[in-house]
Amino acid sequence: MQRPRFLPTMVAIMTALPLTGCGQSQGATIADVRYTVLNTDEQPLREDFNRNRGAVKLVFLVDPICPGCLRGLADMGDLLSKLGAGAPVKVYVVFEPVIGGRAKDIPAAAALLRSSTSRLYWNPTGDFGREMSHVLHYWNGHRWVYAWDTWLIYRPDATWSDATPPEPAFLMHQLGGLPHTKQFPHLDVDVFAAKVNAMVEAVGRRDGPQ
Amino acid sequence: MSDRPKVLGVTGGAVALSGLALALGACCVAPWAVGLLGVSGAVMLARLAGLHSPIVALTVLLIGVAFWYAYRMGPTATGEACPAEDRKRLRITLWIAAFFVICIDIASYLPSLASFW
Repeated sequence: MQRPRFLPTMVAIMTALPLTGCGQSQGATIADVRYTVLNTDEQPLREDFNRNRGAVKLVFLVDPICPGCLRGLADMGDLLSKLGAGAPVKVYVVFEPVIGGRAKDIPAAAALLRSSTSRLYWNPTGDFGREMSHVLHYWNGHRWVYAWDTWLIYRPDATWSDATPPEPAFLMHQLGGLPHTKQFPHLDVDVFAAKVNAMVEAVGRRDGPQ
Repeated sequence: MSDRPKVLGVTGGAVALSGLALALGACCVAPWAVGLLGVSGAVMLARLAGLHSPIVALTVLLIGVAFWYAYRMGPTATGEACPAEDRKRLRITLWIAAFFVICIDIASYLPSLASFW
């Protein structure tokens, strides 16, 4: 009698999936990770943002234990490694406690970026996401959607001069609470990378040999 | 040849796949994923999230196949129909499993629906 093979196959998949996480220690990089705490204001982030005029700025809003955010960070790590260390790109990652992420989760999440030059921030109050929700016009027709799992690109000349951060040149997100429209496109790393590359090339042409 | 192993195998596959669908549907808002699977495992789970709907469709298909096996009127090797009692128990098991699979499939979509409202 030939036995059905669905069950053993599925059991194998279900068993193998958790095993992929075993032994994935990030210990080598955890000790080196530093982050800045954003409490009542975003002054440290604002200062860093304005200090880096002339560079394309990438701002990521993520929870350090959200799998979708972590996949996004891993994809952004690939993008940054392809750009190279000398590319005029500055990365700011604001970690927010949306689904229970804590400061201790930041090092492992940040290691996915594989970029030692990224600036990391921890906003324990979550106020930054509420503020960015309005900046990014995250209104879904029923309510304001908290801004996280969001990936932003700012032009090199962007300046944070008001109380709130400026509007980005381009945004993508992975939020179920927002429609995936032209205004709020779902994260597509290839599209995101193309936008970043175009801006980096524009900076290169501007700053290149005269 | 009895259809019992086929029905149970296909139904078991559907139940296992619906569990996977639930994990994929909840993965992107699930705080447990990193603790359970580690960062790399959570990233992999999130990468598989695009397979959520096809897997749900597959569970429904498998349940349909199981019902076909359980209710088809096939003669046995000796040319006689299966004993009624044997089929009845098998069908009850299948109906219970189908109920769970459908419930789990629906539950797998709740996180994304809930996040909109």
